[in-house]
Amino acid sequence: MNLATRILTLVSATFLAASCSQTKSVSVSQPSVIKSARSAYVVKPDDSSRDIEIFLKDSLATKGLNSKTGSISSKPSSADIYVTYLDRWHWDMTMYLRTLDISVINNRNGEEVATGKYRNSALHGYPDPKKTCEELVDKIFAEAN
Amino acid sequence: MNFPYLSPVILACITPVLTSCGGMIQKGAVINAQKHYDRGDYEKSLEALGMADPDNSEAMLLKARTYEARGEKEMARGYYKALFQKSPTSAEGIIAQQKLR
Repeated sequence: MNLATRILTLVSATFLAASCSQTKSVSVSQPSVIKSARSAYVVKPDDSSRDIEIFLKDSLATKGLNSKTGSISSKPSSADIYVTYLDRWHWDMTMYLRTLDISVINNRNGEEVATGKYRNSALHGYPDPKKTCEELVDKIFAEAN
Repeated sequence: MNFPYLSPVILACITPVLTSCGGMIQKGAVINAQKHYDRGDYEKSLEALGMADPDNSEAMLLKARTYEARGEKEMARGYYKALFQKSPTSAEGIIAQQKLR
């Protein structure tokens, strides 16, 4: 393989790797609230129909929280934290998750205590939304502990 | 040769294509704006949002967040209020409600 071919291969591989990369990031501003939480409520928006609330509820349950989901009007005052989310989907032969933002809020005072962010890439993949939710929740709890 | 029905047929074909293109451009503007916002380039985010449908909830929320990140709290609050009034139980409306507390 000559030098030009090697460089072209390297550049192409770098471009593909960068284009296909997905990012997941979290930020925890009040770890003590996350650590001490025993119950959680995932708020399901009326216009959400892709089970993200169930995946988040299940992910929170694996962390030992008594978690439930439902509409904002049914949010119980007894929950320690509640979670809101914003999922964006796009079409490319089938629907795929483009972005997901989750926000964890202290139900006692309404303060945001943690956020999680998922971004698909330009040359996107087809991420499993359940796994994406689990990974974001895992990262939030890992950061809090 | 004379084709009297050709013009209406062409028009009927072109109109949905142009309409869907407009929708795609507006959707693309929001996606582009989100990328700029995620990078912290709020000027470019607002610039891109200028091409988006002003009544689109996704664009409105991103505008609110961008103004908030720039420290323009009143502008942000205006968009959050509008979003909450528009659809209080949608994903954007719930976030707006939370921000308005």
